[in-house]
Amino acid sequence: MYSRELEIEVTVTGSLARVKLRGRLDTPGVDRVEAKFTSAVVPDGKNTVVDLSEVSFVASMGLRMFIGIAKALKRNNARMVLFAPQSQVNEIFNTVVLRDIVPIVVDEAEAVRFAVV
Amino acid sequence: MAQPEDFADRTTIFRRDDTLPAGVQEEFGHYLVVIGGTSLGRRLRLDEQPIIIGRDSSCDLVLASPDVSRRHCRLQLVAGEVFATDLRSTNGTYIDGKRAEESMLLPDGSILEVGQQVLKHERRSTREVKEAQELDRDLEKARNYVLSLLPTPISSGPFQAEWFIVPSATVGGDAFGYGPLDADRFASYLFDVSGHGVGAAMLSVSIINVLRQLALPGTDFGRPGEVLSRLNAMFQMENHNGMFFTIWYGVYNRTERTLVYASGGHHPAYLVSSDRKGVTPLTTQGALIGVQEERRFDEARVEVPPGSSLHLFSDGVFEIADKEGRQLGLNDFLPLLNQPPVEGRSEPQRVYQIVRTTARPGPLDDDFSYLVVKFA
Repeated sequence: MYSRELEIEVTVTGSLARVKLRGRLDTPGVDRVEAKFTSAVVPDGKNTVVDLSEVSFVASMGLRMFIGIAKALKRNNARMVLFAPQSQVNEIFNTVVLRDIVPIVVDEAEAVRFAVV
Repeated sequence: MAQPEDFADRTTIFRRDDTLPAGVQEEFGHYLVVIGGTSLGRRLRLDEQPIIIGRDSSCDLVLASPDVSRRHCRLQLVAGEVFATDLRSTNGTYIDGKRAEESMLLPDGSILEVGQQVLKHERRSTREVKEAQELDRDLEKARNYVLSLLPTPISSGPFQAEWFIVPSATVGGDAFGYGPLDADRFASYLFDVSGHGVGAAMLSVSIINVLRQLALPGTDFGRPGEVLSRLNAMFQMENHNGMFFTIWYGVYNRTERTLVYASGGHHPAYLVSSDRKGVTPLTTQGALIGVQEERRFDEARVEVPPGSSLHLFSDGVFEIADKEGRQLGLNDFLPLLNQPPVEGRSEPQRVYQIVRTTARPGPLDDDFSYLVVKFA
């Protein structure tokens, strides 16, 4: 393999889910984690913070996953906040104006504050 | 209102009988499939007889590409394993990104690179191959249909256009178009549906048909912001299997020598001066199309000096991983716009050639679409 396969780690504490992603969020990566991600946070409407500090790339399918989960959570009166994207990933988020749909902040503490408001 | 009965209760699922008759053993073979470069989808079975790959017509697999040597490499099946031997080719033979210095094992699933040609080794049953060939034929028809919707290049006149497109799968979600709105104004656009493959291609066909037939009711196609707002209303992702798209749309007015444009979730297009020293990014930072209702899309305007070219492309052009696995981005790509033209290659082909040699082996991660419109 030329790059690391995407990994996901979900920790739930009360009504808050912390999701850590590691690797490339491309089409195969999304195929690998989307079901686990969605089923961990959407059915119970968990406020969700997503740590992107170890995500090196986000393709359109990755954006689609974030947008889909954020919309589903909103319907369940919950929020998702992304935090600590690498500069190249942040550039992609800026291009597609993702902030209008999903809040993006610099660190976990701020993400938690945003998510539980 | 009364609901119809549950459709799932009335669904009948037909399953093909996959079982072989008793005593019949499936026959397996080793195959090479072209997955990148020319002759996409071509499949060749390997047997005990060695095969030679090269540009020469005497080779068993002829790859008519200038970067393939006349006799490039040899493949041979030895005790159930396939070995590749480079025949002192100019550009080398690579297996999963490593240059084959001598005879090297080509494992099942590995990628063989011969010049710009990319082949995959597959061990498949005869039945699997037959099914794959049927699917390939259907995909080829779909691919040809999508390509038939793209406009013909324009080589003379006040607006000239050339393009190059390579889907990462057999069909992709990128498309583009251009054409006159009236005697003075010329519209150009490129869009990129999320994901790739058949699902994305189906949505891209709907979008391109709307745009090429100017079929957005009550819309002035000379107003990019208005076009994007209408597309956004028409293609909400909830109604299109969760898919959205990015787009760049611009209208050049040759009397005023101005270009008015708007972008929705798309990286900038670039206006390149005739001497290639000036590269101006053109973006309005609009939202993704189909994600939020009731979006307004701003427009911007730029003057167009004589001989300038508009470069429109999808993110698959620059979001590539190189041979060392490093992820490249837009800033790595931009210096290519200043580089001189290459004799005998269109501008989009020149860029593709550089991207292809930079990227890791195998098909590109995303669709490659590149459109250049030149304003006299």
